[in-house]
Amino acid sequence: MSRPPEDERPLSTGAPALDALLPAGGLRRGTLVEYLAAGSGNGAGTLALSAAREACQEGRALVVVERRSGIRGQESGVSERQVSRFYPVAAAGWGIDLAAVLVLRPASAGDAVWALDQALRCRGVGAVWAACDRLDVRDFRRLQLAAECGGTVGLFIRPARLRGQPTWADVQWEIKSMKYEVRRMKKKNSSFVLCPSSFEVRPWRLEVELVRCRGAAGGQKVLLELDEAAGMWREVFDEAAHSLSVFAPVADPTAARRA
Amino acid sequence: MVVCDAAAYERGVRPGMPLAEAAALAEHGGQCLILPHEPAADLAELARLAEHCERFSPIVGWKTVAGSKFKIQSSKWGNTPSTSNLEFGTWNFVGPDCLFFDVTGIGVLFGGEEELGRKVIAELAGHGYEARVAVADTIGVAWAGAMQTSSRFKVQSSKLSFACFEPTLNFELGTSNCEALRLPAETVDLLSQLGVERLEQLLVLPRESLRARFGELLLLRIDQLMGTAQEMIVPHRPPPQFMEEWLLEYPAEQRELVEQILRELVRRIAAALAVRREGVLKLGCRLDCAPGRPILLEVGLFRPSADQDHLWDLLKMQLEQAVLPGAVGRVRLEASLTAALENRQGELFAGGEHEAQRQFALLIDRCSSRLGASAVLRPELTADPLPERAVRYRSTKYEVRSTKEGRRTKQKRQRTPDTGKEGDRFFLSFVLRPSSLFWPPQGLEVLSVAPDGPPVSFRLAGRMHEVVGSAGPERIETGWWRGRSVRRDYWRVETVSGQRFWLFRQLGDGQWFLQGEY
Repeated sequence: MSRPPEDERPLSTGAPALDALLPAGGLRRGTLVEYLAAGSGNGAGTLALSAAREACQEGRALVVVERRSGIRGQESGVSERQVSRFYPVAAAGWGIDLAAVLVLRPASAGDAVWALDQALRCRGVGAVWAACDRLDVRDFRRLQLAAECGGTVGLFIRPARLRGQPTWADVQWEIKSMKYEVRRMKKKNSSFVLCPSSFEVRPWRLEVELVRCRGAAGGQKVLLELDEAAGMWREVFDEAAHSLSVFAPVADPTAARRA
Repeated sequence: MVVCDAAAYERGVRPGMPLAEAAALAEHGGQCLILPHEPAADLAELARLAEHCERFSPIVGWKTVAGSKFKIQSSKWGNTPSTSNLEFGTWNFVGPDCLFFDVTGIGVLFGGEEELGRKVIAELAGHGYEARVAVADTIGVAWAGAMQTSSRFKVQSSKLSFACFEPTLNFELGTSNCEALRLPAETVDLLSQLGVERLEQLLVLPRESLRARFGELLLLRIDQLMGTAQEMIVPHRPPPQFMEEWLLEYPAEQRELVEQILRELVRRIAAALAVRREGVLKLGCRLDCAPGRPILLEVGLFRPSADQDHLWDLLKMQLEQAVLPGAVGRVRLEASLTAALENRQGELFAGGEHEAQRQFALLIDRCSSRLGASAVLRPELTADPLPERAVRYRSTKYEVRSTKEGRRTKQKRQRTPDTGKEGDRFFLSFVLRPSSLFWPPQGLEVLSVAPDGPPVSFRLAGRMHEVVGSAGPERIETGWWRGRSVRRDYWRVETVSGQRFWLFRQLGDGQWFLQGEY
């Protein structure tokens, strides 16, 4: 189907290093993108927000679909009663205009798929942000067709255990947070514990892997670091700086231990 | 004898006299002209004048009705506004002799309210009538002002000032008679017998005793004068109502037939609206089923639309979810709220910002229709520092968006994220706030070194997380005047596994909670 020419320009993912991995130089409008993350607090939502910011330029809206009773289940360690909600203040901080944000809260799974379908199909929407665990393959295909029809980008945040399962998304990223290599040393004659220092100097680092992408081989990994001043993700190359020494009074002095 | 002019008044003629006596008195002084009183013709003439005066205001009438606005405009199903509420705009027994204009905001168009008043006088003089005009905040004050015989034209843009519980009027109005309150003659007589001549005397009397003595009408008039009670002008030409009805000879049981009928009614209403260049904001549908109660469906739109396909889509979504208890005998469709359609100039290239906005409005309509209006929300930043209250969700409703605003929001988006927003909204950089918030916050077991120090490790979901770095504390407190005081110290923590969380410690009891994750 014919699309106006401005839809053909690739969208940035928010990090130039990730854009370089993609064959088109960025995300294409009308496709679905999956962000896989295990557990919580891994930065998948934040990375998706930076992509949403790029997709919602030129007056297009951002639609967030969240289930009323909370989508995240047991695997993130949060009990069903807690609701993990999209927090618009973070979106505002990223520069997304809240006047162009719409939050949909469907009550049932069927309504959620319908809402995603309608939002993806709408030409006035730039990106749809949703955290969804379970998605039937047929529904997934339906959403992919809807995104193609409406020219929107679907940003889905899903659990990492779905890696390897068949998917209709064009691009699939897996996001892991950088683990610290902790060296625990015993300090003699110390009766106090040194507290971990504040980490204003230690920026946020994520390891992002391109699991699969249509038109390119997957498997490349990139280390990203959040540049707070510029508001973008930068690539870093040395992993060595990511270890730290912690003095802690432990009974057995092991030399080096991977946490 | 109903009315007489000044010359006859001097000769001793008074309204209410028998005709023979009045004629004798009048002819005694000289020639006089006696005309029959035709109230119907008078009313027709007043209506004609009101139509001519519609160039000054969209709402012109001689009747007023007390109470809230929606009693007149919305039609309760099957009822018409009861005539007992309607009152004539005059308080002699003759008939209506004054016109009420609603000129809210219209003075600007005529170069000021004084100019508007002069134009009205000129217009009525052109028809051969002498007019007295008064402009005020409430109908009661305006009527009182116009009844003053001292001046031909008076503008009172009065702001009635209130001190404690006693209203203090401006000087002129206070000295006017109680007749200025639109009361029946016997009430005015009774008041004057009691020695209450002027308004300011009346207003200092206690309300309970007035109610006991004179009933509710006097209090209502006083409230309308002060502006505490609402009073609306009944326009002599009421705005048209868009309603279509279909009565079935044999009640229909099949859903397809009902859908076809509704579709036809939607088409008719859309056609009627399109003629007036108006669109529907609220569409109500009523299906009368034989055994059970009638089914009421309501469709609300974000932007006024006269597109019958779109309206039918929304109505169909609601109809699919409704269960018909029996056969449908009558179908009624009404556009209860309408607004002018926004004119869009056609663009040469399809797409563009207008098209995107239009599609977005259609999406909001569809989602509101199927998920319910409470499930379609727009976030708004508030000035509250508490994280759970920092965002207020508002349900979508129609608002006129000027093109200037659209351009301004486009410019805002291109700013870098670090620049702050104007106004008193609490803006924070994206580093400080997590992308997901837990509500309600989850309680944690946290080990921390110092009583006010940062957390060292915490247990979440059965796993022990060791904290490697933390930033804080960020103290967020609410003022005691906002209710229960909340004092929290927030910490952004990073654990050994690299995960980032947002924790807080409640200062009252030292309990730790997990508020969000990055």
